[in-house]
Amino acid sequence: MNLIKSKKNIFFLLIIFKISAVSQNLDSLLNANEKKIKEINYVYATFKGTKLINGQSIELVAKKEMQIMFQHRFGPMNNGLYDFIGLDLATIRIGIDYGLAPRLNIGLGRSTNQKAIDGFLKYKLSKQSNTIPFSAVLFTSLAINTIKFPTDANQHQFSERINYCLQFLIARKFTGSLSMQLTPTLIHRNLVLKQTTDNTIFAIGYGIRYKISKRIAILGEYFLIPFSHLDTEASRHTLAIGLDIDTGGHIFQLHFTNAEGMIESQFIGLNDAGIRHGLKSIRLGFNLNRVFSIGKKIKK
Amino acid sequence: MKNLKNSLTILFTFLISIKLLCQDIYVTKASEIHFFAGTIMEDIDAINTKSTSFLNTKTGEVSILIPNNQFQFKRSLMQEHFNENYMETEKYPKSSFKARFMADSCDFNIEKKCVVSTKGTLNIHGVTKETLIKTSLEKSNDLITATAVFEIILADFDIDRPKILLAKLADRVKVNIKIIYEPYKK
Repeated sequence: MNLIKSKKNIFFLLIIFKISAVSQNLDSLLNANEKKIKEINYVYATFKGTKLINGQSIELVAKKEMQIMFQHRFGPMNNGLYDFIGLDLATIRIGIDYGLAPRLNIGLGRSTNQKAIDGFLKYKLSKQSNTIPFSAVLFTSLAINTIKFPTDANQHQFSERINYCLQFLIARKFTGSLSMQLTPTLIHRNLVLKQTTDNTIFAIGYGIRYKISKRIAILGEYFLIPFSHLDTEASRHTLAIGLDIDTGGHIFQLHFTNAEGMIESQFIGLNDAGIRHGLKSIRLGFNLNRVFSIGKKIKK
Repeated sequence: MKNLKNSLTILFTFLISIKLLCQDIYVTKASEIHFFAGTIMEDIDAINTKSTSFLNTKTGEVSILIPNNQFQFKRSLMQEHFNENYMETEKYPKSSFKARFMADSCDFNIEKKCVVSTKGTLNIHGVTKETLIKTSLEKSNDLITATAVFEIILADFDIDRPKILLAKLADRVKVNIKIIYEPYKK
């Protein structure tokens, strides 16, 4: 009796086992399979624009894509209504970014300020993903002022016109809505106004983006020059706050800043470019980006 | 003695049945999920080749898992918008379809094309919906090729279309699925 019972038990056990094997859940198979796959998932849209506000962000345009960027800075707002809070005056930079390779961008721009032409290279060293905790970009630019030399007794040389910038950008998207960036910067100006002013200055930049809706984010950017010698008039602080509006095809960035120039060697510690103390240089500005694909074919 | 013999027989049949069971399960060898959401104004389409799926030919169960951030667009900006604004892939990393063939099942012993209705739940963008998809299955050698064409309505899955893009982004998305299955080996 006992034996028969135990036999029955085994039989039942096997049947149950078999049933569980039949409906061997496809989900559990899928889940087990999932664990085997190790895809690298890159983080999207740490920032929306290739420029945070004034300075560069870690974003690049993709290979074979070209971005046209219009940047506008109005005049200082402290003249009140006479200047229509600065809107009577405007400084412009028109720039192009092009993706030479997936991680390399080349760019060219022309500014009203000092009639400067700037060229730059931007290389993505690392992309934030599930294996790498941050994105890093190396940025180097050269700007040539093409404004006429003043008619004075001095001998002027072409090299006076050239300014350089080297930046190491490091950023992380912490959550879906919060991204931050740190930007150590070296700037070299071949010509400075006074002997006491440093030709090479070191600055550190901070950037933040916080998404308040699907398409709108708040941006903040701050460059500090901690110890280099500057002209007495120039400020050590370049500040900008603004909004990032993604309209689907364009990125529209609207902001307040105390810088008039839109090239690193201008908006960091150069009083010619409007970086002065106090409220004297707060102005309204915007950046408008549009990306075009060039000669790209659909992968099929 | 008789007892032991019986037990052994049961065990043996059981082992055989296990072996047979495994032959009923198929896994993706290759997959291609393509969607088109554009209009005359703009081509919005993407392709995903990173999905995994299991198919049980005996029970008629099928299960597909699609990594949402692996859709490749021809324009990187579109891809970013898809991930950021529409699919919200950080919040909803996977889409899935879990279904069962309805009564009209296929005989997988014959190498012949057959069409079945698969009924189950489709999960996209965190929303689960009962869905019926007509699937055609074809067995050749050891491989089973499944193809399906269907439409989904974006509003059903809480995917917003901004007013500014109404002319460019369709409200219905055409989806093409092609999956080649091979026998699953443990």
